[in-house]
Amino acid sequence: MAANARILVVDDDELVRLSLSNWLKEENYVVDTAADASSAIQAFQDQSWDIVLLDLRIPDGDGIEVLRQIKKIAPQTVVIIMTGFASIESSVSAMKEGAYDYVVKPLDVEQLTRMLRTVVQQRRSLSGEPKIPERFPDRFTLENLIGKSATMQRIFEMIRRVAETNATVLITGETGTGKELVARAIHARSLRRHNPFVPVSCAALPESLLESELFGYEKGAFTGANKMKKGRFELADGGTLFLDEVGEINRRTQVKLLRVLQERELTRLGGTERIDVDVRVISATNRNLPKAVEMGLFRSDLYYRLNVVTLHVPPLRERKEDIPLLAAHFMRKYSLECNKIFDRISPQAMERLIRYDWPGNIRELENVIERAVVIHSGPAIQPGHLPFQMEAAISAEDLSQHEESEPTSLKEVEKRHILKMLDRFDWNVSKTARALEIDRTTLHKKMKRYGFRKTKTLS
Amino acid sequence: MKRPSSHPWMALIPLGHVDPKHLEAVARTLVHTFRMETRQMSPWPLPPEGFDSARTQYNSRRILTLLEDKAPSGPVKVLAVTAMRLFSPIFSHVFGEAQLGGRCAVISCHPLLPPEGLHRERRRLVVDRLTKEAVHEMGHCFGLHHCLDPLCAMRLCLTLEEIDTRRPSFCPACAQLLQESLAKHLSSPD
Ligand SMILES: Nc1ncnc2c1ncn2[C@@H]1O[C@H](COP(=O)(O)OP(=O)(O)OP(=O)(O)O)[C@@H](O)[C@H]1O
Ligand SMILES: [Zn+2]
Ligand SMILES: [Zn+2]
Repeated sequence: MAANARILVVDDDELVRLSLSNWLKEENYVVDTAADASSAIQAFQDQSWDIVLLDLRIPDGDGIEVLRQIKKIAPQTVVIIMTGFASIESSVSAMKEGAYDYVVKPLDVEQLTRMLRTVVQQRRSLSGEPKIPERFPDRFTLENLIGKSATMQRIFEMIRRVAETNATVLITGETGTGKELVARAIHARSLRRHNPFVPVSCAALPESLLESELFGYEKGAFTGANKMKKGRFELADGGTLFLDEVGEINRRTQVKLLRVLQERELTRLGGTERIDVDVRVISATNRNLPKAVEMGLFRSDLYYRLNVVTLHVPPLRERKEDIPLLAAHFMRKYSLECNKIFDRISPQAMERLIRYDWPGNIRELENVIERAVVIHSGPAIQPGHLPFQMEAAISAEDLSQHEESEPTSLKEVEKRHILKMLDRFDWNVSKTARALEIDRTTLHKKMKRYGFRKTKTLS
Repeated sequence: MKRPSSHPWMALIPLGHVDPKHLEAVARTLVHTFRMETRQMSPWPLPPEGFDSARTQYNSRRILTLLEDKAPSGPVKVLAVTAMRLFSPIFSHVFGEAQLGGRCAVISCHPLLPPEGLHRERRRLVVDRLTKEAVHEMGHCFGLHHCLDPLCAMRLCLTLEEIDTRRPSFCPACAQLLQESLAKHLSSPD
């Protein structure tokens, strides 16, 4: 389906036509109406319809006959019968003639909404549109990664090569550049692919929890440990453990980690038994680890263990050739997910996407596209669908238009900047705090002071 | 009060008797949300044309056509409020109905009442729901479609609980679309 799903309403009651078509438009469908059999058939002469809502009792003919004709002219069109309680029987015979389903008048909004959305979804997957990654030439994708820039092509090559080995890999790059996706691609191409890929976000957990997450604990190891729990290392046995934001691990856990890597065995918290583990470790960081090593924050022996092979994923602004591909990919993904009909990006919007410098990298791009698709109706992403701060960040003349609103106090600058960053990192406090180079508590305090609470919750 | 004809305003028309507190709350919300003067008109008698004797309810779509014909020509938008039960010619139940991108909308307090009846603290709830419905339907009049944001005023609500979680205000995107629509209304004097 290339545009908003198209619905034809066939009913002899003018008020029904008015109400129903108005409501369907509110639901983002393209709608036309027909009052009788001949105009219903007429409507198929020069146009095609995805769905017909057909009342069987129409003045100048037999509703079933109209159904047959529609099915003959346009077998792909889904016909839904609208019927009164009295005539449910005829709807059943209509289904034998190829009607998709029937709804009883007065219609239940919820039922109708659900039915229409299902039909649209099914048609879209039936319409033979190739799956998204397949739309791009093979060499531009690797597993779920997309990229045609020379740097991404080089990364693809390295992934293929390193996947076949058991080497530990350290993936570096700014937040949102796709480090986890690279790790998953390595796993998916390795001999371990039939065993689990287990990610652990080292920054998301407080230290005490991180240890028990990684290594597990025995029953009674601490209060609340009423039964034995396997750690992620054990869960990843035979597979790959992905340590995200490994730079955040504290000294003590670093030591434990190092020992497991060296000895290939571990002890659960509170336990004595040594457990063999066969795990490949891939880790990622957006920190400058050599610097952390130099400053004594990160153990050098652990660093060298983790860093047998380094893969650096460059920020999006250094590979802008990938933006159109990625943007199209996310547009299709969310369009499908949200039942929208976006199928292109206007040249002006694309220009804006390319000019922006994407400090949040691909994650930010994904969020921006998702937001545009979720909120607007398509079929094209327009510049107006993109968030304002993107516009403000890209050009001085754009900025000068908002001069009158330029903040004067330092506090105001801080306030706005925090808000902007929160928005950029999807109101993830840890990530925002890290970007702002302050700790979470400070950020929480500031958020409270400025009265910031997450307001947008897109489902 | 004479005003230049280009000064846009909205009309709030009670159909039959409507609790003045409800009207006032709706008017206040509309002014606040749409930044447009809202005048309460004197009540219209319940229109017999809209009454369906078989269902003993008022047909919302018929009321919309009636409003379209008979409402004063001054206001850019017309919102009718009634305490009577409305029914849609096609849907099993409605909270209100609007002409998408058009001039008129109608909402009813009736389905918004909690089943337990009108205890004092519940009255607030009704007012809450009513004002949200007013904003939603007027949003349609200003050309806004349904929105997937569960908190946005333009979310399609099927139940009272959904209305209760929905906010009376628009998500950033709908707010922007509304701004653009309002700008259009402000620039074309009629
Ligand atoms: N090359 C790519 N092709 C397609 N999608 C991508 C690509 N790179 C990143 N993404 C998407 O961008 C988002 C962020 O990627 P990912 O989580 O892998 O980044 P990260 O570098 O691990 O971020 P962080 O450091 O914040 O954990 C994900 O939704 C991912 O699917
Ligand atoms: Zn609506
Ligand atoms: Zn919205």
